[in-house]
Amino acid sequence: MGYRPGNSGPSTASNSLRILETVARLGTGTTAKEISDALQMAPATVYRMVNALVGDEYLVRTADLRGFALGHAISGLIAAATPPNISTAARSEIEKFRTGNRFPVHLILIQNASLKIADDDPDYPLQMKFEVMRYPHASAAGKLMLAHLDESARPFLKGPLAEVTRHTITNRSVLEKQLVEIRVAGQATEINELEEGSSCLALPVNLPNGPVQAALCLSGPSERFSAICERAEAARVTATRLAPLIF
Amino acid sequence: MLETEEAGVTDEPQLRAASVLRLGSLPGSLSWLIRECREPVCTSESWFLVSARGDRFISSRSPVEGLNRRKLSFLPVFAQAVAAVAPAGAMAVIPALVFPAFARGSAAPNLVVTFGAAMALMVLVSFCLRPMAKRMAAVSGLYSYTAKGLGQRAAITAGWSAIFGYGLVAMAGLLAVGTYADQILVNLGVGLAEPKLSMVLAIFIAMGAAWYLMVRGIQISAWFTLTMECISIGLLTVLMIVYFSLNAPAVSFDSVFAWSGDSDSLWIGIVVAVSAFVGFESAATLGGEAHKPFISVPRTLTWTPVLAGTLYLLAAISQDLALAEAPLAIMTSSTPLSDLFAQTSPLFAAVLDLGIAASWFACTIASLSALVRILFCMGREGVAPRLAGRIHAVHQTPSSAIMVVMPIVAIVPLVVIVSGASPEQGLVILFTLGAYGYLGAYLLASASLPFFLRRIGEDTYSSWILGALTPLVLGFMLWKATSVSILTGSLQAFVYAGVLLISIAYSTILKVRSPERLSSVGIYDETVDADLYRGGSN
Repeated sequence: MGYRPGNSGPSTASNSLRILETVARLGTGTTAKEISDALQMAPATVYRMVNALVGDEYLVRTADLRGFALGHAISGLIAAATPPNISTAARSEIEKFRTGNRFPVHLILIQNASLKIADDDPDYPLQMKFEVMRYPHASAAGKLMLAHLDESARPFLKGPLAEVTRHTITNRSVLEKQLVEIRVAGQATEINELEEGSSCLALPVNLPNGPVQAALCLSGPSERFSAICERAEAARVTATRLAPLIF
Repeated sequence: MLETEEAGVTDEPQLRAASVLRLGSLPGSLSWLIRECREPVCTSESWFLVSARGDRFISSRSPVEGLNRRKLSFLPVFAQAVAAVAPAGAMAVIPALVFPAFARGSAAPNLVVTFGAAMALMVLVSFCLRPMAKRMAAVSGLYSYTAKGLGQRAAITAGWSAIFGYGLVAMAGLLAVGTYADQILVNLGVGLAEPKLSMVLAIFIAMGAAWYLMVRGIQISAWFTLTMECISIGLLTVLMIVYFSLNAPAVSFDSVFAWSGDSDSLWIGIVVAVSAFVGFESAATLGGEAHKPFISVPRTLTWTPVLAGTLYLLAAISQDLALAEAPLAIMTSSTPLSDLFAQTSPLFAAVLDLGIAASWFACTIASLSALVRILFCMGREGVAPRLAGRIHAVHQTPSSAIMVVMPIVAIVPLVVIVSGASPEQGLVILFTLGAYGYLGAYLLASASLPFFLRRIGEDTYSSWILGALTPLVLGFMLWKATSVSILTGSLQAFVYAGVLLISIAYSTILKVRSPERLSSVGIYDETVDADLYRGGSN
């Protein structure tokens, strides 16, 4: 018994996280006793907490009821906290598309109602990185994300729409209308909305019937926007190939 | 199986014999799975996630698969327990059953003390069951808990005891439905010349409806029963308030708290009062079907006895007051409350009867739901006919078990009515006998608590104290009630003793003749790989 009385940790919340971590570290079949020894916590406290975690299905019991394993409820936490790995195969797929293309190509991940630049074009890096992430209503990738947000995430995006350039959509109903169009067309565009003189086309990257998890963006000067749009079909083919390589 | 191959056994019959031998030492569920896997139903995708620590494993299939797994939200689970308790029906009938028992003797301890003691006892039992419900998603309640605590043989006795209890309460429920349905017609002035006919008819209708609802699924039947129960509790409360405000009897609260009994009649009174609480543990048969079983089942186990107890105490106080003034004919009637109301207004009484009948109907469904799940488990384990372990392909309910049980349960109340025996006598006998069954199962299951926890390495001092105290109190009470009932010439205790003896004999035969079947006792809804992080769906 490695338990020292009076050392049952700082708080219930952090203790439960430490218990989860211990089970993850010690592996399937870790017993309450092993957790109690590893964390120097009172056995009764550990029993109470593991049962609470089992109740919420963060932990599950093995068939003999003695041991614990990580339950499906932490899948949500882990999936949200860890970005998908952009494999070499995925990067070379993007690279192949770039070589057949005169316009900069970026891959932007859409996760938990936020954007993350996963693969920036090495030759023409994104100029407005901060703005892309901060003002989703002003960029093609951002609008693609907004268009596919589920209902539960929508309330978080209330508030006034900032005017990044003169062309940024600041009227919510106009934006809502455009989001519907984006869902129908399966692609999002942005012309002078994030940066004067620059425009972008974003295509969704998703598994068949899966949620949109990334945007493949083709950007370029606004006067060349029609030329960018001509590349849409090729980009869509790449996006379809990319999805199974990433997710 | 791997073990036997390593031992160099290659011959097929020999392998089979060796694996059967080996099964005896495996945990019940594993031996179940291995046995199932030998049969062609098992596909190649079955696998175990075996821990590096001993025989801890997680399989891809649950031994009770086929049930509609993890779908039921908290309310239906709670509804199952509340309906099985049938507070509205019990409020109306059981104090009355306790009352004449006292009325016959000169000295009667009062209802409040009796119900208070019964409530305390049931809360104690719920404290014992809770820790187990938090750790195991049982599909057969007390039976599963006992199997993991006191072992397989004790579990068979507990299981039979519980089946006996659920079965008799379901029968009593049907009988009460018949009695009250007839009473409704009488109060409305449309009573048939032959009351037997209307009772038999009501029982047939109730049986058919119960059958349909149970096969359709616990989701529907639970909602139905909860609605019924809420309506009838509401009705009863409103009617009682109205009655008291209309009659404004010269209420003297002295009688409510007066102590005038001897302890012997108190014990038998408590047993009858306990039968008003039994059924609260039936939520523990929904472990496999409940959405978050480790939260909803323990919560239900904790709160149902408290809620029911509060209602009973209120009902006991008000009935004590109302019936104290009532003529003896009403006091000794099987439907005293409605007779009391009938004095004021027959329509009142009819509405009240409807509520009570609905409550008993819900109780029948809930008790049978619990019963068939135990039988289903036994069928899967092989200690009951395999047929009982089948699941309805569409509704995912243990429909075969329902089909086996339903006619048996319906025949008894029908026989009581057709034979011309008094329904109130029938009710008293069925309830008290049923209470024996429940108490026996409670005793074994609460004694299981410390052993259950020790088996999984989580026992605490408090669990040993609780696990010793509760069975002792239950046992003492059973002993007292049994001796009193034997002294009064009742055969009930012998009937229950007979059930116990048969179950012990059966488990002994199993141990000798087919130990592998006995060893598979104790299946429950195990963790499957879909419950794991990155399991199944991911």
